[in-house]
Amino acid sequence: MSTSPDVWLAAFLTLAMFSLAIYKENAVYRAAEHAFIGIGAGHAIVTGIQSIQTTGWNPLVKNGEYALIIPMILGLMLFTKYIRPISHLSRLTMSIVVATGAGLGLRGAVQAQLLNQVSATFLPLNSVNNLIIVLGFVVGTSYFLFTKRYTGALEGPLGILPKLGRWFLMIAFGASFGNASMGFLSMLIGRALFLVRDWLGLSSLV
Amino acid sequence: MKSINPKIIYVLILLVIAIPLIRPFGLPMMVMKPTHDFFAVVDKIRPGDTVMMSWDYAAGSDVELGPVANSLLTHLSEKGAKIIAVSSIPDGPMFAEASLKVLEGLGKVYGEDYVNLGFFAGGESGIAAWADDFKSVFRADWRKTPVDQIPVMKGIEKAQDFALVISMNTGPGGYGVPDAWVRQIHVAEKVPLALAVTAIMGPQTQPYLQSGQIQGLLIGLRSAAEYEKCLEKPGIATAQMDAQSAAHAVILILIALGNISYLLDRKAKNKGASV
Repeated sequence: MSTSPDVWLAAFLTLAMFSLAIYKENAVYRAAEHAFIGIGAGHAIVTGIQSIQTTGWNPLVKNGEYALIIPMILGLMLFTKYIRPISHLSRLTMSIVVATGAGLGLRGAVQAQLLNQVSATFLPLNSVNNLIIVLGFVVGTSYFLFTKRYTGALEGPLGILPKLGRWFLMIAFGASFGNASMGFLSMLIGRALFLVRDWLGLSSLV
Repeated sequence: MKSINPKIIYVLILLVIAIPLIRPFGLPMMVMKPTHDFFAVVDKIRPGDTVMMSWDYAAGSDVELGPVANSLLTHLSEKGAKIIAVSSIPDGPMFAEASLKVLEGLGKVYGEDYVNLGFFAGGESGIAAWADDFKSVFRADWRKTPVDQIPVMKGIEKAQDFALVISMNTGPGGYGVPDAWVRQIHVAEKVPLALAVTAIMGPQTQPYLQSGQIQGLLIGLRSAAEYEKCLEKPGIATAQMDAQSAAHAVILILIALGNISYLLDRKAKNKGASV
């Protein structure tokens, strides 16, 4: 069993978190939960300040890169949100952040998330995998065609498409859910490993 | 069965997970094609090539992506690659530091063979910024040494100077999401990109592999264990997959028992109603 106070503290906090499921919501669980959020926020603030120091303040003060004053002022303007008479100034910075993000995102979004992915579904029907991909793409897309109701001429043979599409979507969501459950189990395994190896010393895994 | 206390199930799952972690079963495992392909991409790295690895995950995903990082570092080190570690989320550099100890253990020298440049702000904007001008974003490493004084950084000016970029990514909660890496590194810079993502992110990242926009994809703990198998160095992920399989077996048994109990109940009710 570990003799390190750090490990004991971490084990206590882990068990405090487990107490929600195994016992019920309690003060120890809430304290551990709040500590987790507080530590995360504190760490993010410190890393953020270090990032500003390295990429903004130090080059400005030590290297005389005065152009960096502009982004630093824009950054400070974000905090005017808390000063009512000049709170509108924060919108200027926010608009630059949003516009830059949108512009950069659009640079590759059409190709990465539309053209390349659609063209990847144009496959020769020479294997079961390809057949499933092409069929899934066609019927999956048909499920989202809302320009015309599946009535009249579209009813009948074509009406099967969105129904089949819904099945494909359900299978895809099922696969996502299966993976999600696997991910959550992995988190539990991580904490269980910490308890049996690092705290109790029952495992020699490295 | 219907009246079973869920807390008993939680404790049962915890116990079932703990046993293989104490004494691994060594269950057989098949290596899937995406893991083979990822392994082949890393295997093509030549000695002296520089590879960027980005630790885009926090504590919650360390159990899935930590073993991936360790295996990749071992493999890249065997190939003689130089490693540049970065992170698009504030917590990432801590996990990078922990993983980079693998290289220390393999006799690699910090600054000459690898470096941890720490966190870069801005998410997608940050990626685009260093992809065009690396030193405008990274001026010093995580230990505050100016990049100009770090030998491994010599000749690194932009994204095209990397033989491969790997993002170990936790997904939408992060700042530099997989989509952003694909848009900025594959589409805009035409640099080979590979992703290692958490199991939850798997299905939505797979189309990028299918469309050839990423060179390799590792999904969750399962891929980490498969990569260890490819390396012929079974480790922590392999043991954790035993725990994963054991937990899944118990869950499947509980689902089957729950359904049998439900059907028997219904049959008894129908019988009661007909009498």
